[in-house]
Amino acid sequence: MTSSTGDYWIRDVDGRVLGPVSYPVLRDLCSARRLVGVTHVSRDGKSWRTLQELPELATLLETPETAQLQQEQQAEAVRLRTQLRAAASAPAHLIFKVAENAPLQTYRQAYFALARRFHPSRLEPTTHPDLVAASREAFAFFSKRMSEVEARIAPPTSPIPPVARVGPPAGPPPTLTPAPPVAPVLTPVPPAAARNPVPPPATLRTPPPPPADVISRPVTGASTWTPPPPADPVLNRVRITPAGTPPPPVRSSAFSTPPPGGNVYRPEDFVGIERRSAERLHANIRVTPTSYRMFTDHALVNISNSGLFISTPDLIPVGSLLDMELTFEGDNRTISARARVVWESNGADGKHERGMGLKLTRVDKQDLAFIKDFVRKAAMAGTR
Amino acid sequence: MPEAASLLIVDDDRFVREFLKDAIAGVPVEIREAGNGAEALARVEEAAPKVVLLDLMMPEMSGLEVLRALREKAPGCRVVVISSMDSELLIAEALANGAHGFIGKPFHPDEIASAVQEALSS
Repeated sequence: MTSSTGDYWIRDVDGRVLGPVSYPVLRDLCSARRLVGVTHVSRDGKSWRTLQELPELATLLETPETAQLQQEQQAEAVRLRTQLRAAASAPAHLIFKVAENAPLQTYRQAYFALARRFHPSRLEPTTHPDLVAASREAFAFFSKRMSEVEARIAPPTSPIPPVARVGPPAGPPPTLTPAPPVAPVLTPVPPAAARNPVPPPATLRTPPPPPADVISRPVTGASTWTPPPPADPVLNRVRITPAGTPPPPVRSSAFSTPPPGGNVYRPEDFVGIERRSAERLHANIRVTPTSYRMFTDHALVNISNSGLFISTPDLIPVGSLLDMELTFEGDNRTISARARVVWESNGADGKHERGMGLKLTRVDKQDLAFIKDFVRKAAMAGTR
Repeated sequence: MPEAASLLIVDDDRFVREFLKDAIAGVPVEIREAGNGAEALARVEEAAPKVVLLDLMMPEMSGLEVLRALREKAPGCRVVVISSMDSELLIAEALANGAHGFIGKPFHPDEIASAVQEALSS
């Protein structure tokens, strides 16, 4: 690393580095609560010290009075809810502070800025429950209003939204402009931390928790698998959640077919601030001469594109990684593979079972060839 | 048929790389990946990507350093920074150092697809 215009480098618990940045940038990051997880700082990019060892940073890191902070957060929750109630009947263009006839992409940019502000991952683990709940309500409110806008002006099928200008020359980038205030009836509520721009040193290493309704925990024990029930001879029903854990709520995803009326935005559709590499779950899947159709029956995900569809009550977010043990009955062979959830069905459309489409992202070539051969033979046997 | 433009994803978090790949699956680009800054600069020499999606905080070489190196190595390349470090001053600094755009976290896949399409067409 070479020093240039900046004066500081910072390093987090995972050894990731940001720099060089100036002191005002560092102070700004601290005020915006972006130093969670940052543990060390350097003036040359080579020798590192703890944040508290630098006097000019120690003042930024002073711990606020917890009781005072909690009171402020409670008051903020009340204020936010009051604003949300007042905004309930306001037209969308005023809520998102855009022109009434603004194109969809302009609405989306405004919505995403607000969604970012109120997304659950923005909150500290120690945030008062009232403010956590109020922030969730705000996220849900803006998301609902955005869905209504989409239903009103979105083209019928638009997997890729219209082009957005993200660079500085011809318009505001998605986040260059601070999240627009929600006018006229809703004024932005700054994050609790922003009013107390002093992250407590003791909790700097702790990332914010994932939203409660997102599966983001690594599997700690052996996952369970239940064989296909008699009434379902075609597909395995795979259990992904460890035994004893209630299944997550049903949801669609950004990659699912948008429901009539436009997209549905949920916190789990966003990639949050926390690192999610550990979000891998595990499933044991038994492949039989009848259940092989998990590799063939779905047009979107089948073995021709390294995909499969598993029937399961336990939906996990699109994009999640799933480690699998595929056991092929009769061949005494078990294949380890990794897949990514690329599609999911809650079964409500009557066309698809409740389950998930997976794409194999890590599988040995020989193993993949074996799967294809197994499927081909099973299909041939089934047609006899 | 014209050759698809190349896009480079630079992020040390494999999950994020996978998510980004999914997000731009509908955009006709040839996607390459790099897990750190040095790898990113090597990929840029190989493939001359038109667009780079760049994380700011990575081991060894930070995204800002990669950004500055890219400005010299590939001045025509459009770099969209994606980072949870989205304070206003840092965004301004990234843009001043040649970033084409900045997307904060948490982000939605639609934002990524839009940004990539815009960068490709500008």
